[in-house]
Amino acid sequence: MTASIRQLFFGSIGKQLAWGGTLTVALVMTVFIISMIDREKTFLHRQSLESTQSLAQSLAVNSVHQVLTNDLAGLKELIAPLTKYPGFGYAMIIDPEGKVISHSSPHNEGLYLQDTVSRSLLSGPPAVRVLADDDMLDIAAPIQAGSSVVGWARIGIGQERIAENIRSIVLSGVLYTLLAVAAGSLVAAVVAHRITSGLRKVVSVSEATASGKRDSRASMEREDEVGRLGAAVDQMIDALLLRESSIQEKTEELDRFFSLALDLLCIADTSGHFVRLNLAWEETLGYSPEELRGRRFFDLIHPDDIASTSETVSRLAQGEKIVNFVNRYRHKNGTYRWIEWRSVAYQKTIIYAAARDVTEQREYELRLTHANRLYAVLSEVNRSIISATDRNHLFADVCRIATEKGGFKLAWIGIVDPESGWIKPAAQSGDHDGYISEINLSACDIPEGQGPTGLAIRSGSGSVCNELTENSSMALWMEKALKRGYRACSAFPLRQGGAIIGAFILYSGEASFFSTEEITLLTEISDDISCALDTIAGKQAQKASEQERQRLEDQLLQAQKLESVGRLAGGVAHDYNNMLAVTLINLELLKRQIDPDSPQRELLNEIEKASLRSRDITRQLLAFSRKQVIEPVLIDLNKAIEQTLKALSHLIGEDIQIRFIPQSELWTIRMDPSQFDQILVNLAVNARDAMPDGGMLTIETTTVRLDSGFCLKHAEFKPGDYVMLAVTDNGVGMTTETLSHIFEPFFTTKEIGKGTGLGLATVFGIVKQHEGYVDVYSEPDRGTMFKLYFPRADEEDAHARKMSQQVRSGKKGTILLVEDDVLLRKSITSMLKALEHNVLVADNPLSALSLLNEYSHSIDLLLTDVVMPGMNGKELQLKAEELRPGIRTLFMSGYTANVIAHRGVLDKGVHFIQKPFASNSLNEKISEILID
Amino acid sequence: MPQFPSLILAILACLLCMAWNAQADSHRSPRYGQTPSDSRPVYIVGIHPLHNPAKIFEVYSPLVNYLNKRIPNARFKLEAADSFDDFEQKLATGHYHIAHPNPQETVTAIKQGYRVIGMVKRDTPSRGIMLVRRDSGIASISALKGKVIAFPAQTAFAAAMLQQYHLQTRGIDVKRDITAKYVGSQESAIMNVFAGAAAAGCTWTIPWQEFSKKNPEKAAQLTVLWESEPITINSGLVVHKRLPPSIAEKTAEVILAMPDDPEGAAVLKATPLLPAFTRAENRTYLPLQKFLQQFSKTVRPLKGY
Repeated sequence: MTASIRQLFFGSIGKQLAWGGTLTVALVMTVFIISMIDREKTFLHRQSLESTQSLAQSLAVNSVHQVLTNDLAGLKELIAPLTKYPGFGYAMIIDPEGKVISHSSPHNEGLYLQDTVSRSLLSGPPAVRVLADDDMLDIAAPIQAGSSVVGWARIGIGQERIAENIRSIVLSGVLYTLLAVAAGSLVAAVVAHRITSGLRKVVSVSEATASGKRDSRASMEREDEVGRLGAAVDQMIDALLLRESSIQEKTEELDRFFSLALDLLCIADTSGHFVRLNLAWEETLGYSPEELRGRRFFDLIHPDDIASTSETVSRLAQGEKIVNFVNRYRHKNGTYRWIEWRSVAYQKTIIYAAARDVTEQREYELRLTHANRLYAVLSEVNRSIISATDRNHLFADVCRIATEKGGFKLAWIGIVDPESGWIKPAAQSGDHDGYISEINLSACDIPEGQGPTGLAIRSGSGSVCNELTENSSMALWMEKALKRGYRACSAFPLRQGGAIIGAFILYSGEASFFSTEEITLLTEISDDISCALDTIAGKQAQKASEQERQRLEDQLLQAQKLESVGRLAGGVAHDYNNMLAVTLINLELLKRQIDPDSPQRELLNEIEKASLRSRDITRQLLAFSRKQVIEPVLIDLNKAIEQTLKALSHLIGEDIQIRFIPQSELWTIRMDPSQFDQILVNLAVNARDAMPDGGMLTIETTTVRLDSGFCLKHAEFKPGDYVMLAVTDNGVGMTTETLSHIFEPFFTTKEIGKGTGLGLATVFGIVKQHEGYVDVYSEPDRGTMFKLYFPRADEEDAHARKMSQQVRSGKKGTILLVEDDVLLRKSITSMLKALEHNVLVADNPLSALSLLNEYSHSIDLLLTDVVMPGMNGKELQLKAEELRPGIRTLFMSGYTANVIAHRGVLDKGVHFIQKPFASNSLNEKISEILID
Repeated sequence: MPQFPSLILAILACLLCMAWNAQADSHRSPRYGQTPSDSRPVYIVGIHPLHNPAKIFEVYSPLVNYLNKRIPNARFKLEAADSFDDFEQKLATGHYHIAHPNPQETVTAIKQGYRVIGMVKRDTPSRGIMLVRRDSGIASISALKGKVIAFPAQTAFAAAMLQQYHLQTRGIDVKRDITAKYVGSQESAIMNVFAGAAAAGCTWTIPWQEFSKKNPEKAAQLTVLWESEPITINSGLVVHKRLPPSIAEKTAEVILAMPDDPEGAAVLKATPLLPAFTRAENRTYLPLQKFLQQFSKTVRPLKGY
């Protein structure tokens, strides 16, 4: 519509000239009229303004007195003449608060001015003010008394006269303008026709040339500008024809170059569409140029490269040249090709680009980079292997190297739980954000074992998943893996001692990361780790063996040390016992001869106490050295403990609680009951001293079967069934150094005078004498546990449990005493006589044999020392029985030295009394033998 | 070229607009209403026309402004009177809420519903003064018999009534022995003597001092024939009974405290003709009332006495 109107009015130069002339005239006339109106308006307005100001000022000056005196009538007289003024609107006198004191319209008097203009007047400075300057000229003048404003005189004069004059001028101006426009248009039309006739000729020639008529020419014979234009057009047509021919040749040449170029050439727009492409594209992407033309090139770009390509296109659109930009385009067969670009944009909208397919080069570089990284990993791993002494440390190192040097996002080592088959992480490195703890992997042929890790462990060779999204075996973990940016993963088995124990597992953020070369290198790394595991295991085994050997040597050394100390103690005790026996026997004889009320008897009692104490110490020494003669019987350890518990509680005090945990159906053991009491008391006292602030003493019994494995670790132990007595306290405990000495006689940690140092030595001796074992475990500030192992008694021994304890009566008879110690011989002789026995005395075995031969009466009992020069007690017994069959023998000794007892235990049917002894003990023993 | 139609259309529109515009302007006439912009009540303060209205405003505007400032919940508006009669008539009608009449007007005002709250405080008491020209040869009161004597007004206390009473008591019958000429103002009374239009002119201390200060040469040609005893009763300050008591009390408090208030003192100092006031009551004017009764009996009858 607009175009057709434009064509109608401006379709030719003639019309344009006509309109131009018309417009010019109209513009000039309009400007002239506006200028005239403005001047007239200004003049009239100024005139009106001045006269109105004069009126207002005059009214203000004249009304001062009336205002001051509130003379309303006077004010009316002043206002009345003003109403006759031409255009008069209103006149008023107002006080400073806006109240109308007097007004040309009386009904307004007494009212207040409410409008904004009036209010601004009252708050303004005392000067003549023009309040309105439009159709009504409104002017106010202050009424002043001195410096005070006592009111305002305000006059409004209408401006209709001015508007009337202006309207008249405008109407005249419009009329003159229309006349001038008509005249101008006519003149312009005539001139235009003259000019345009030649131009039309030029136009027709141009149109003919454009439509292909190359021989059309204007050939005008005019001398004016139009004639020169026609000639110029003719020349231009000739020149154009010549240039057109030249351009066509060049264009055809460029087209051939574009089409046949081996590089990828294309023209595209910055909105992302191909405009034109050469044939090389078909070879590279499989699409023909026709297929690609008009297509969005972003549709073919690899998703990972779209952002960088968009950014590059933006840079092109900003006029930047792009060199060596690389992205991936999808081939028609679905694979991607790497394309390297050199591009420039024309007018920021059209992109001219040359590109090359650099796929092979990229892939080669990528493989090289991966290989270099893996070689670095291999090198670092081998360095770590050389210095590795610990498996976990090696695993941690390997994982760290894989992520730091190999560029893997995550590397971890999983070890198979041999029982369940689940794979548990042993080491990890890299960015996994809890991934390892979230997934469950198995080495078994179950869904959790279908991933690369399970496959690698089961197959014994590396397993790879180069694209997580395309591998169904990864379905269980795919979402979690993709969330953390993993795209590919692989696993390689780890062996130790030839058996697969786990896998080395790697995750990459790049799909198709694991190529054949990389898999080979990673397999090599895994094999190296496996070798290192064997080496570490060997080293650890050797170290453990050395430690075990050292421990056994220490145990043996300790046993030998105790044995030698025992022998020493036993030797001393024997001789000492003989002396004590003399002392005690003579003391007893002496006491019989002294009046019970005699003061000397008290002294003798003291000597006896000291001697008895010395005898006890000697017995403890003998017990430790296992030289004490014992009389084991079958006992139930639980009952034995229960019988002792009450006495123990008195012994250890109220601060310590005793807890007894017996095992029911406990096996019986062979043991001297009195010695068991001694063991329990010694251990309890020891525990008490270890718990000065109170605590818990636990006594426990149980049956144990020690196998060869246990005995291998405990050098002294022998395999078999044992009853174990465990005595545990939660006291101060002991250091390793203290532990190594506790069984040595006279070793004590107690204060001087508080312990003999024989308590635990005695326990040790007693246990050993009963063919048992002692094991101690202690930690400082935690407590100590003594474990005593007593061998299980034979079944047949059980019958012996019912041995009757007959009351011994004092049977008298003839006794042959054989004792090589003269003092002791005399003492025992005196004692036997005091017991009313007939005594034959021999100072050595040979003398005794002579007496046995020569004495004509019966001899009821041979009372002999065990260890004597020339012949021991046992040999004497055998010879005596040969000489006098049925003769009874009672051995007496400080220790037995295995003559009559095997390892201190009396053989069956052998009678024995321990030196030193009291007369009643001897009497009881003799009576027992003689009755039998 | 394509813009041509638009241009032509614009030109025509411009011309038409001009024609229309010539009559389009519309003046907004002033708007009137019943509501004043200031809602506070207005109280009119009237001043005895001691001076012409402009002078009254010059002298007393500071006092009214001071009141407006000190009593913000009311508005005080000063109004001058055109003449003594005008002032007294407005007093009689209770037009003024607060007024400052001369002494005898104060006595009258008390009867017309006003209450005295103050009185002009003068450091030096004023006196009625009778002037004669030095060259007149008049040396005593008795010499005035038969002469014309100029007075400001019949009700002027010090300048007329006090002096007429003095003449009367000295044996000169004011109605018969002299011609009393009431000239309207103090200054006019003095000028009548100076010009010889009257043998003597009556005024009082302040106008005479002021005249002497402004016109020393003229004053030098005049001499005081007689002056009254000091006048202790001065012009009053009264409030009409329709003025709310709280405003009346506040007004009295503010005006009487002016000399003690720094700002009030500054106002008084800046306006020499503005008098300070001291506390007074209706009974303060009882002696004057008695004098006026006496005057009415002996000199000439006064309205209301």
